[in-house]
Amino acid sequence: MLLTQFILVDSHFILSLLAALVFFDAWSANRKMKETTLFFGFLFLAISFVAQSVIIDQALLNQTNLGVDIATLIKNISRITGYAFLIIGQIVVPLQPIPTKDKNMVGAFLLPTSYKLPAIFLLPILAAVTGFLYLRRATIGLENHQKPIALGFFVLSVSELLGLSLLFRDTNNINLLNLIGPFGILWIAERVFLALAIFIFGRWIFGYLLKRFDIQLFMILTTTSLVIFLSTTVFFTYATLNNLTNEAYDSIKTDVGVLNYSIESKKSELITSAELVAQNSGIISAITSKNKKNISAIASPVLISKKISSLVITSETGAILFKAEDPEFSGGSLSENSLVKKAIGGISASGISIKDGATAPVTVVSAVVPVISKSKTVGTVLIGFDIDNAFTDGVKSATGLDTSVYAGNVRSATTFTASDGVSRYIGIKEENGEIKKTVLTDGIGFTGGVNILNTPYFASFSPLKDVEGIPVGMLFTGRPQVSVLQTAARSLQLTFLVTAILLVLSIAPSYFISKYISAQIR
Amino acid sequence: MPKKVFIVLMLFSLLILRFAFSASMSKAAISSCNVSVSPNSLNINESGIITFNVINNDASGDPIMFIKITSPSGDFVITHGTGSYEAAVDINGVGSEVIIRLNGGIPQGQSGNYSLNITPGGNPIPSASFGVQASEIFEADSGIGCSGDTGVSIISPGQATINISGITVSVTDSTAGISWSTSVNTTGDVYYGITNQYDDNVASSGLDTAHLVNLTELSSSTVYHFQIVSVDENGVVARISDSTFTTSPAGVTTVTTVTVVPTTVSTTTATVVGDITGPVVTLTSNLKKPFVESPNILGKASDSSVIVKTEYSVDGGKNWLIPDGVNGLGSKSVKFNFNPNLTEDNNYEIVVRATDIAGNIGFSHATLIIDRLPPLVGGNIWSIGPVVTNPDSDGTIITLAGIDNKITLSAVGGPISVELLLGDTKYSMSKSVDSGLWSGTVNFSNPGFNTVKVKSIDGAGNITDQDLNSVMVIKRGKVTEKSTGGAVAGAKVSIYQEDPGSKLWNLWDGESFSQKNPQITTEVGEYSYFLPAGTYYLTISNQGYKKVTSKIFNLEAPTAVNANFEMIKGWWVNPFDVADISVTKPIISANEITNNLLSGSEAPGFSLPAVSGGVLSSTSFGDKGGVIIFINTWLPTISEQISQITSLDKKYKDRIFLVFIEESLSKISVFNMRGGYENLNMVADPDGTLVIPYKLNSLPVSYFVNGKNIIQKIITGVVTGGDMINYLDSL
Repeated sequence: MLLTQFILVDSHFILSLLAALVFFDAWSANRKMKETTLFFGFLFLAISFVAQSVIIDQALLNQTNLGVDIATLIKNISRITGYAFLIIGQIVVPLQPIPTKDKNMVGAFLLPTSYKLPAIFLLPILAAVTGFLYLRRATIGLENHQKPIALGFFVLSVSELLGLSLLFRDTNNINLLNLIGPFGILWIAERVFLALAIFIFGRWIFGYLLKRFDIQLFMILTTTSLVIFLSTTVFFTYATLNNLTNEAYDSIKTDVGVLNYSIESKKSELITSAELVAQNSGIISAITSKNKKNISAIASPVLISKKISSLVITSETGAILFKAEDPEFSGGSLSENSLVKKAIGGISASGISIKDGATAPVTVVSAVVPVISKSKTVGTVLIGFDIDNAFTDGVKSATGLDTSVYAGNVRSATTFTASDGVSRYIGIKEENGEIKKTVLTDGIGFTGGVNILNTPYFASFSPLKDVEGIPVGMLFTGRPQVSVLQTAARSLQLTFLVTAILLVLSIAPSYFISKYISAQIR
Repeated sequence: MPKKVFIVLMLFSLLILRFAFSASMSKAAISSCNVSVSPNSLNINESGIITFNVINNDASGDPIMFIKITSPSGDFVITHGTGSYEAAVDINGVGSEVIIRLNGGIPQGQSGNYSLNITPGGNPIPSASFGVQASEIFEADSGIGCSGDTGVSIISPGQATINISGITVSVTDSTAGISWSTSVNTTGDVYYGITNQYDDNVASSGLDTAHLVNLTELSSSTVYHFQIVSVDENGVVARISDSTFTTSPAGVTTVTTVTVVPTTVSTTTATVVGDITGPVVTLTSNLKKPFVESPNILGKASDSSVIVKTEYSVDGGKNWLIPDGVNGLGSKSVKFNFNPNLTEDNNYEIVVRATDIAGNIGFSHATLIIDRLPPLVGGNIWSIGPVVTNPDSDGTIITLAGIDNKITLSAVGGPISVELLLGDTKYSMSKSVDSGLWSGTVNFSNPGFNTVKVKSIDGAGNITDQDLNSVMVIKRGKVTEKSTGGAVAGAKVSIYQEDPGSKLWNLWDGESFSQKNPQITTEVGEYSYFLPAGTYYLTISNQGYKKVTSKIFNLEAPTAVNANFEMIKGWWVNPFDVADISVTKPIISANEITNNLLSGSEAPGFSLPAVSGGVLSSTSFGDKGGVIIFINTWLPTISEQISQITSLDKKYKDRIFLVFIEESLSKISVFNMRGGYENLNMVADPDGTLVIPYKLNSLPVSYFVNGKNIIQKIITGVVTGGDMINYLDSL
């Protein structure tokens, strides 16, 4: 998808500049000031196509872009002005055999006040009228050689007509939208007709080139410059896209590492909090005497101040003595809990565990610390922190990362919102077999292109492991693939603009060089 | 001159070489590291975890980026490894070596723990040392050896020995306190009598290394024989040879302490030939009747071999506890008692197990019923896949026929069974051990207005029937043939969704939302979708028919899609011809609304404990009136609702009571403090006393009560701050 869109964007740029070149050539051939209308007509058309070349479809940019708006304004004004000059020229310059036509049509033409909607409607009409006037001159008059120009403008008017499809993109007809959408059939057809028009105009211009050496030389120089610029631009934009894709992969790999680090930091933080309780001078006597009130006085402030989800104190055999998050709870045991077993054995440990939630499973970062008295474990402090949307939001506010956390293959927390911009789909399953095998079975990271809710993403998954090192969940960071193209599009637009400016600037030296060489030869 | 140039060039080359190699030269290797392991032994044929604590003592400040641990022999097979800063773990094919590469590394002066799962061989091995190497280079293959004791032995539990030492006896004329120490945690029993047949015994409870047993009611000036028996958790028994002490003459109450040195201390292996049956465990307390409070439970165990351990479980054997009192451990008959201290209503699967010296285990099972309240279902939420289906503001759930609706609810009173009733159809619910919530799935086969009922039964046989929710089931969409009006079966219905980022259209991922997409119409031409917010279109295709494409439609909230479509026979499709689609909500008639029945009536009275202290009642609002919001801490929407309230002025906050249904005051207090909600009025209704009077079902639900205590408005779902102000101002 990315490569196709890249090719289409570049083809638009190339075609527009070729069109500009053709009209510039036409201007070169008519740049005697006595043919004022033709001079300005082709010059403005050339300018309009230079402006058109830097316009990248705003659907691709995913936002309104001031540069695009300005370029569109310049394009429309210069295009209409160009057509107007050509039409006027055709009207005011008398036909050779029968110079008796009415010249009062000029006043009927008005420039549009708004550059967008009315202007774009005028373009195919003006192109067709221009073509018609050239045809009239070729058929009614004696200037048969101007038939190709008429044909060129008729083809161009078809291209301009297809360009009107832009106005219908708000349709609720998906068939129509598929036809007229960015890079759709009509979008491509518009460029094909433009290419055909360029070919026709090119052939016509070529006739002039054969007649005057200085123009021929000038055209060779400008065409060479154009080819060099276009080749450089295409290569550069391809490299840009490629680099952005590679950077996206590198970036999400780093991102998932950062997310992993935040989980590891949370583990360390929880162990520190558990040690805060375990090393309290009063906790040993409170545990050995099973004094719930004293245990509460030590444990509850830690739960509240550290914003921990759960804090459980057990005896040396795993019997639950106190749950800080539910102080009235009593009874029960955690003797077979793998973390508690480690603490009973005198080892501090941490890991990830999964528990049921109301609508989806919850991923929990847990840490346990033994309470030691005279080198002997007398109890344990087990702390749990639920990784919820608030946690992922916190990571996002600190690092800017959009992330998801999976309990097993079920999404349990995320910063990604649904189409409404508010809902977060917790409970969605990741069913990609390769991801499940790589991350959840083999316990290693996965980075690659995947479809999430049928949208292509550059994604990186990292396993979340329990205290025994067994994968129980996944961390995810990713970017929609189209976001890379959107980033590239902004870069491409700038590239196109710079190229167009350089191309225009290269005209003057080309002109003087060709002039100088032809003078030398003469 | 050329010579000078040559010298300059040489110097320049040397300079280049100096800087070219400076990067690698400046990187000093890790100079020192220490390692320790825990535990130092593994049981034969029993996989275990050995944790290596690696300390970076490097002088140059480099972090340790690479650790290689090599097992001492093929008797220690490494099967898994994990640890601090872990970036990658590679175990070689035979499990003799693991390489752990670290992310960030162990900083200088700090340590990292690395746990290896190790499968030991079947023979005892004396302590053998693991090799541990560390390096500052992430890609290294080897590093410097870390110093420290890395010895791990493979032992047979029966071959372990227990040292008994420091035996002292402190006597008076009628008492004797016998104390001793053991090398590992053991029980401590003393058998005593006036002969070496020991007609009495006293046992200590629990496992310890320091033991003290007091013998009382002894005769003065009498020689007593005694034997100390200590048993560790693996069933290894240590027993001293017969020893004696003499009580003081009558009238001498001062304590005289003597040291006893037994002739021998014997250790018995765990294996007892011929004993393959576990102890017989009996609970002597009658647990058949329900209890309001957790009772003291008595029992006994007996075996042909000595019993070394007794434990009990209140969760069917998942976790174990030591009884409060145990008499006779180390003998063939043991008595025990325990109070499980259970407070919540429930049926608890009590299991007691006793282990004899041969490792045989005997069990006894019973069900303990704690019954303080009748069962009562509290608040609930409905969801379809990951999408929560919020009810209408009047509390009616709108769903589609043929789609699974998950219902999650809380309950108190210790129900052992919760069933959803839809007419004559029953849907069982199951309880989550983690959350304590019940969940089940309902699928409505027919459209129409339904009332889902719920029946809960507790262990004492109490039954509670409640109305759960009013549900409007809307009919499924139908695909018919235009000319005949007949159903089009087997047509393929596909939903496409616009990706907001790319504006591209993709097939909607129904599987993630527990739905099928595409769907094939049923024999009566039906299909249905419940779609989350987004922009969509739909296509219907069937062989011999023109493909139907709907207009693009936008959903601002999760919505049921059930529009009817007509198909025409033929093949040519006019691309400009797209079908209309209607996704409007059904209209619920007034007589179908059940949730707002209390509107206009007096608010049921209550007086409940508040987090801030004291009690809050239904009349606490005073003349201005206020709003009672029924809510739960486990609701996904609680943060949203509370954030709406916290943004309000104090004058409004004071008129809002948050009543937490079926959750304890202490739990709510913790929630309150942890969230920093001290300025909100939070009230606990742990027994769900307001569930029936207020007809509570989907939460949160807000009851706006005026100054005369009359309910003015009932809103189900999250009420925004702005709406809250408007409603409160209108009271």
